[in-house]
Amino acid sequence: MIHPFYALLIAVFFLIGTFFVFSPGKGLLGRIQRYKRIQDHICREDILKHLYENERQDKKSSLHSMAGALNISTERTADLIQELQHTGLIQLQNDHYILSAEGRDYALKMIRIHRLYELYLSEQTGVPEAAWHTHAEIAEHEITPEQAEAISDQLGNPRYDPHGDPIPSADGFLPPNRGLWLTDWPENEIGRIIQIEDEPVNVYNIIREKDIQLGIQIEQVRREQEYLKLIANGRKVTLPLIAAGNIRAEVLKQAAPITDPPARLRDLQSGEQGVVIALSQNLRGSERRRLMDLGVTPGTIIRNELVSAFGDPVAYNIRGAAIALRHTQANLIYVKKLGAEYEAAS
Amino acid sequence: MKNSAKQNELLDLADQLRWELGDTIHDSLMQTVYEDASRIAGRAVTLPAEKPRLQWDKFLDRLLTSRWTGFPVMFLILMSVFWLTITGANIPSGWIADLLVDTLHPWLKTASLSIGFPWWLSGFLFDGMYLAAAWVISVMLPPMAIFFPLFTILEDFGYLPRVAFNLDALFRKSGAHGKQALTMAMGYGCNAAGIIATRIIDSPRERLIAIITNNFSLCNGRWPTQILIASLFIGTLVPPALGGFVSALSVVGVALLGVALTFVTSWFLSRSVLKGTPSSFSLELPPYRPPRIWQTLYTSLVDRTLFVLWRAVVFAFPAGALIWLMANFQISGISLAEYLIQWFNPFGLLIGLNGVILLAYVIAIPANEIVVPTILMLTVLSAKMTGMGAGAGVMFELDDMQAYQQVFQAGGWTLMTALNLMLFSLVHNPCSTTIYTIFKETGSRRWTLVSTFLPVVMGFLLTFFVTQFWRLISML
Repeated sequence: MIHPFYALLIAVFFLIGTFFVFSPGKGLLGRIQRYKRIQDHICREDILKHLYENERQDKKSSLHSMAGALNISTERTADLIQELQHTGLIQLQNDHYILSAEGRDYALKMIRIHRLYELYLSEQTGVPEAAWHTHAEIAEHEITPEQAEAISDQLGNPRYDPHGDPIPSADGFLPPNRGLWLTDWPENEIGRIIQIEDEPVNVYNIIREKDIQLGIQIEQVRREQEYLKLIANGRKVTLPLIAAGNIRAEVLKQAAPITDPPARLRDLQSGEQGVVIALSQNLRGSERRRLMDLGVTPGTIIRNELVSAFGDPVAYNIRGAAIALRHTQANLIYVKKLGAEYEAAS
Repeated sequence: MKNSAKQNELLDLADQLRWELGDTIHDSLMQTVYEDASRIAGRAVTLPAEKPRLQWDKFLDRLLTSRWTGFPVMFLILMSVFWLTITGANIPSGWIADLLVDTLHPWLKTASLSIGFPWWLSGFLFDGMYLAAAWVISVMLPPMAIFFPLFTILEDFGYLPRVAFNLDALFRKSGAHGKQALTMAMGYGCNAAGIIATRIIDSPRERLIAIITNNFSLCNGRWPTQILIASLFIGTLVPPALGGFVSALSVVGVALLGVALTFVTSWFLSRSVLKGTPSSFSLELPPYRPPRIWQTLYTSLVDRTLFVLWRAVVFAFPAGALIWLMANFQISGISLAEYLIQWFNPFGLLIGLNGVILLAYVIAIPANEIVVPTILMLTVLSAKMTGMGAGAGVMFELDDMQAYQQVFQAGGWTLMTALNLMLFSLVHNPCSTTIYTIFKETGSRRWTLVSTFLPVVMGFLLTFFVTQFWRLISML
């Protein structure tokens, strides 16, 4: 019989080996996948997308900007550009490259797939928000136009992705941007955030850290040197200009200013009541639909009915039924607290 | 012509307006639907004044969900359900075994031989197929017929949702749903029933977690194995007065290890393979109501007990046939079973079991109830013991402890073998009834394969490490 010490040693090595192959992201399988991502056809498609984004922002694209954006060598970029010129997708104009009409079409098709896929992830899967972009970056090269149309049908032919970006239509139509960038916002207007760029990721993370989401109300926007000060959903927020320049909002004509940050359902103490003001846009997909099916809509009166033994979840009285919700969910429902006099009156 | 031009114009306008509506249109629609509905209901429906019954509800809720009283009450109720099941099932189990195994089986054998059945046909039909099914019925039917109605009564009364409510905090940390507490508890009766019960979890990710980990609830087909092995090998380590207590403690320990594995595996699954599956949470706490006893008895007996029993019996017939054939089909004087035992032996010994146990687990995939009878039969067969059992391929059980010990000694068992058998009985593939139920419920080959092979691999690893560390330490 094999000596137990060697048996254990072999088993431990075997387990470590398995871990190296399968561990997500860093494992051998993950590496192979990442290697596939820098194949030629994928790089070509990324160049088209890069050109499209630059043209939309009136920036010029050079060989170096492309090599930098794709993180590949300039020699390889030059080869790829030459191929793209041969197929007529891009042209050289003076000192920079621009998309031809077919090239623009191609880029829009990819952006359509990217945004549809992000919406699909947000609505119908449990993939965390931080991973949507990475998944969509891979999917946009793999999903065929037919599959994209199937996804679009399944989602009810949506117009906007989960960041508020318009999804180009199948025939390549993209409407002009709605609203204004926050950096151009008139000081005394009240507005609502409708679009947040999710690239570059580090800027997007700043915006997320400040708890700025789609759909929240903004007012009293003032510019102070490198920062933008504003009131978002009744809360004072200071945003770096680079972050503010990635957020768009539309003007709300008849809106009352929000002076205090609204309470959340989670803030209701045992026995307290509140009326729902809004559901956060971060409540998505099946979770959002489930709550709305239960009758959690603006105007519904909810009472904290019963706290569980560990304090979380809490059972709320929603339209006559006792429904237990977790703190993470109750944090995404905005309510206005109703005082004791309300209870007496009803 | 003019009409279609107008139509197109209208469609274009609608298309353009959709861009301006933004993405909150569905929410607004939903809100107006609710507003309209509650306005109409407010006009048409008169609500009775608050009844004293609601006060009673509130009192019960305070008692059952408070931190100080909730858990002791829960513990007491669940313990009494298990106690009633285990002690209550012994007697009818004995009756059924008397009737089906001790009386009807010999009668069938003699009757079939007297009307001229060849020995192999009567052996195949009655020693193989009939006996396996009879065994499954006698071990499985009584505990299920007691456990499921009790459980359903608690459910009907409204208590079980409160248990899920209290325990959700623990399950949330491992990425699971509080209602998994209920499907786990149901799994102690029968894993197949526990998996059907996961229908109460409406979030896809949490439901899959509950399905895959249900196998770590010791089902009633495995309790007898645990109790037998614990009292034979662990209870005898201490003075006889303490024997019963220590062996009970070790069985409880194995069951608790199952609970721990449920949490660990749930945590692992929700962060790896099930990461992208959608998830949502809501748990309704219905008002308490007096349970409808007769309806409960009917539904739990027909929907749960008979349904599960039927599936188990259907799978037991081919298993019995296979067991009999393996023990009786010979190649140059050695039975197929013995070849297989030799073949399984090296791997079995590596993980602290042996070829007999592994073969028993392979052919007893249809039902865990027949693992011990199969092990006994195979041990007697391969050790060429005489005067024990009723012939090749005929499963049997023994009446006294000494006879058991005699057989296991002949099979070369040690305390380590017994411990590993207890562990492997907890952590191995689900029985075929459960596997089939998983496939029916998930409709997916992938999740069926994961739920089948994940526990086997875990069981092999667990017993391997226990064995090798045991050997290493006993060498020092």
